[in-house]
Amino acid sequence: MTQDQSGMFGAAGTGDTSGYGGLVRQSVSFGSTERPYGSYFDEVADDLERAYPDFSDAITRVVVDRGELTLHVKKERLVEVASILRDKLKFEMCMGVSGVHYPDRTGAELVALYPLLSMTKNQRIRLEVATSELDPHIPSLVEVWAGNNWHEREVFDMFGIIFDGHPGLTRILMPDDWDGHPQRKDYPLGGIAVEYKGATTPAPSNRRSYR
Amino acid sequence: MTTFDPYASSRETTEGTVFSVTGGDWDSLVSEIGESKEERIIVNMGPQHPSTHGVLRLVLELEGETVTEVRTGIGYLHTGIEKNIEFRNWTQAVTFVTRMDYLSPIFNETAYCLAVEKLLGITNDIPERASVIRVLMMELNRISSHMVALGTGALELGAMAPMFFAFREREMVLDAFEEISGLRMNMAYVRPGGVSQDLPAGMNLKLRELVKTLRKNFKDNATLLIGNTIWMKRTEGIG
Repeated sequence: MTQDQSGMFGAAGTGDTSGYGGLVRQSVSFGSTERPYGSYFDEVADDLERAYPDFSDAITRVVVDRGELTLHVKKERLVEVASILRDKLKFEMCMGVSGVHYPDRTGAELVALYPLLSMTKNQRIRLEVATSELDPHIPSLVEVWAGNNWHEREVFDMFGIIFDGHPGLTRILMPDDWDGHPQRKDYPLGGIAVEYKGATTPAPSNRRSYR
Repeated sequence: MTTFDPYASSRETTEGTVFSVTGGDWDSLVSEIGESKEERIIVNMGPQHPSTHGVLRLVLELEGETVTEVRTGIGYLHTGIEKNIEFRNWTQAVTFVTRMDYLSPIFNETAYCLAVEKLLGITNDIPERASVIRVLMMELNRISSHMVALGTGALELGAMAPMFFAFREREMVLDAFEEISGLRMNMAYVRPGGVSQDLPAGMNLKLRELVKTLRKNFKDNATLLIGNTIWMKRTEGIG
């Protein structure tokens, strides 16, 4: 599967200082990796298949790239898979949540990534869950790893993914009344005026001397 | 203005509306609380407060002198680095990531560069000398960063002298950084593919001398902290 992409990281339109804005390249998206995966990845996959009978239904793809294992999980099954990884496979820690926005992937534009660490076995894997921009809901993993609380708030703040079941999903970095989600690719860089107590300072890109 | 704002009154001038931002009205708060039987008050602490290093807002719920609930506003230091990097190339991003934690710039740079190299598949092509210099710089940086933690930590607990000594040591490390990279902080020294320049001539000996001095000086500071009963009582066995 290949697709043409242009510009840097899919962003276009404003403030590109890199000179790479006109870059057109092919992006490669990976299919499932064939066994053997190498390293401890086969062991992890075997253990998970044994502990979780619905493996083939819940895990849509297993990708090994650059020495890292990523399990693509259906979002409805995320909590089940996560609980089993924590309890049976000893992945005690979730290192956080990262959001990604792929505007070109219709129906799976928003992605949440969960890097997991097993301290007992010294292993690291990653879970990937995708959802549509029109229905940006992913189940919360706060019940499984309590430390995910703030990370999920951050991904909600930056990407607008709604984590169902989160105990208090509010913005964490941006002000509560902010419009939009800044790290989506269609969100502009700059261009936002600063308003404080009724006085307005135009955004740098809109100040007279720069126009 | 149609409504009166007690914290930011305004007046019209020839240049437009001028706002005078004032502090909270402590007197009215005190009189209000004096009337109620409850001791529970909500205090808005920060984002600018002398006891927070940086900008942090805490919404505290107090029952007398006990904090029963706290909510935090941590976004004041959010600078949108990821968004900025979307519009720049891989090398330019080093200048941003070096500022993420200004006490340990080399670690930010190295972590970022290792990720970029992994994505490009050039991890094994990095010259060994560059890797060694990265580790060397990270170790020096670790010292300077720990010195700030120990120094300001002691200052927080009421001991001022350890801070002077810790910052003296930190400054020596920063001098070495300046000689190597040209800058004391935020050096953007580590780049995807290696480092921006080799060590200057004679740096090897200077660093050995520096390490010797630091070893000697650490003893002074260690004695000063471990000999301080208050510092020990407030740090020992608290997790």
